[in-house]
Amino acid sequence: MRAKIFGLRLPLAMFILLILSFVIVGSSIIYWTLVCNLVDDGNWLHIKTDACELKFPKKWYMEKGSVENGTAYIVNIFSEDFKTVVHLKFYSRVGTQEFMRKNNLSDASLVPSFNAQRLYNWSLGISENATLHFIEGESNITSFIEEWGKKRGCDIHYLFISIRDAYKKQDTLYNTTGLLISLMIDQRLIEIIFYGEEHSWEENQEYFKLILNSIEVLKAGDIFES
Amino acid sequence: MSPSKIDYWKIFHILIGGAIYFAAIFVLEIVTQSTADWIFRTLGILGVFAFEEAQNAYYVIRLGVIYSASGFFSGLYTGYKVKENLKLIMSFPSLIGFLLMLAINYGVLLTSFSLMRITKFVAVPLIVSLIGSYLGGYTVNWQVEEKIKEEKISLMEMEL
Repeated sequence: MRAKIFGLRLPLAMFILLILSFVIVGSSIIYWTLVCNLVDDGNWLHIKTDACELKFPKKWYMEKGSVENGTAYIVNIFSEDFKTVVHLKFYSRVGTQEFMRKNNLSDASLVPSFNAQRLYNWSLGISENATLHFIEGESNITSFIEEWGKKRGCDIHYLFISIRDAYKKQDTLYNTTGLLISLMIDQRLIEIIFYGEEHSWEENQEYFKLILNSIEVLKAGDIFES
Repeated sequence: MSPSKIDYWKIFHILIGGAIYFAAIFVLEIVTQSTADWIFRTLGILGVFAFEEAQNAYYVIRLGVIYSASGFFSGLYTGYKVKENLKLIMSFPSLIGFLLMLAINYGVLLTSFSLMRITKFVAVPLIVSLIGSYLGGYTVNWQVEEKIKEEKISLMEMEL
């Protein structure tokens, strides 16, 4: 027990090397993953999930996974400031039927208002003074969504909402804005919710459009099916 | 000191080593998490964690920075206080601290009980912690041979 490396006792040198190797290997894999999945101008990432393929800004944070016993698959993409979220939910055929039956919904056109109510109820749990407002013909994004629906060749149902005093942070009340979309592809329901604090929502509209344009829903054979 | 008293103190120091491991895990977890968050936000690459490869890579970094370092700190203390039978004793501080941590976070494991999760959240972190613990213990007790001082004797002086 006499060896020394770089003037350090052997076990200490080994410990430092151990930590360095873990950090270097981990960082290299992260870098490699990043480089392999960058697209466009290098500011967007392309990802293939179990339900869809899409692009999203590399600055944004994404979480994904199957829920409700594998009958649905969710993708949540949070903006850089974490104040806005793009929520995508893909139901399997079984999941769609269950969801509609459980919530007494006869068709997909009722899903946005159902989700609006659910969002509002959730806001009431945080701020009891929250009030729900339905917005008619919201600005420039309306025509974009209708155009997007036409390209997909399916009926798209959407709704704009605004929740006044939706949440309180450091004694300041914040309003939120939401765009709730639903559509059916091959008897499978897809929910898209673009929701967040009103200023952040406005700022991230262009990103949302690009994300929406990049979504490629996987065909029935490829998608998770229970 | 009687042999039984020595054993008692050994156990006490091992338990303290376990507590050091437990505390180090929490401190390093917070420090690593906030540092990584700051780095990835600053670099503007938070999105990379959508990929499983990046999540696994971060897991590898956590193994090194959190688990091996915690084991090392607990090993340093225990190795400093207990000098004998290191081969056996050095496994206990990490083991005790890890079991304590597991008892608090057992809910995470209960969500889905699979071999993969056991390997990822129990077996591998424990092995890395044990390696850290042994390295810590032996760092303190690593006997380095002192160099014999060389004395220069002048032949001229000898002649005088």
